[in-house]
Amino acid sequence: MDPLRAASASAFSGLTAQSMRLRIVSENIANSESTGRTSGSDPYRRKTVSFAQELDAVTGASLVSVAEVGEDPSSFTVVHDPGHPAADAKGNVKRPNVNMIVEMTDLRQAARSYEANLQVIRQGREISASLIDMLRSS
Amino acid sequence: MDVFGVISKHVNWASQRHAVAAANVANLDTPGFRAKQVAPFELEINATAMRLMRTAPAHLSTTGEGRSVGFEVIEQSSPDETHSGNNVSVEGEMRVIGEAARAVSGNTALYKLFHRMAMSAVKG
Repeated sequence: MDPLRAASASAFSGLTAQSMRLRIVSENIANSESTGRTSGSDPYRRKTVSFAQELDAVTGASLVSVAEVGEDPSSFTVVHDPGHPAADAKGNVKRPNVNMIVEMTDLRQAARSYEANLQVIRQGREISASLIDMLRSS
Repeated sequence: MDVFGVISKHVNWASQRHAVAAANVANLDTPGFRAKQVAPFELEINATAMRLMRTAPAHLSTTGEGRSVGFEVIEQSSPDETHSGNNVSVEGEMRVIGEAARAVSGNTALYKLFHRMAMSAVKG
């Protein structure tokens, strides 16, 4: 097994996993105001993503993959708005359980991890470049 | 072991270190993941210093260059652990990756130097 190839396989799997996480976060942010349409219906439920380690059989590299995209079971916030199409008999509307601060934190964290994986790829390329440079006659 | 052998072994060690750090960085947010590291190079040198006696040229060499060198991967004992049981530190891994790249470029420079010396000895 070539360690440099294994390293880039790990880093690229990290990039893929983190971009999936960014996608889920952006879905949550986009739907932070999505309520139901009929009376008393449930609004958008916040999605969560979790990762798992995975061993690549070919290179023996330790990769990462998205284990599952789940749903946040926390309760919805309820506001009183009788004019809303999703209002129940008492005039209460259920709103999505998306917390903007949590989403922003998650976004920053995903971006930071993505950046770290990119740095690994850059340094790996530098190592390969200096190895190939040995072939040049000095 | 000759100097070219040591250099090649050190480059091997550094790229192994790079691969392990890459796996750590990829699993930065994996619950329950334990950070790993490659055993230090000094220990490797000591381990190869204890070799079997060869009394005839037909005996197998224990320091043979053709063997694939695998370095021991051990678990890091990092004190800061997140709630999910993950103990990878981004800063620590970035340091390891920078060190590995520097080690390889230093080694290749050294290799070139010795190669030039050998060539000038041959050419006279």
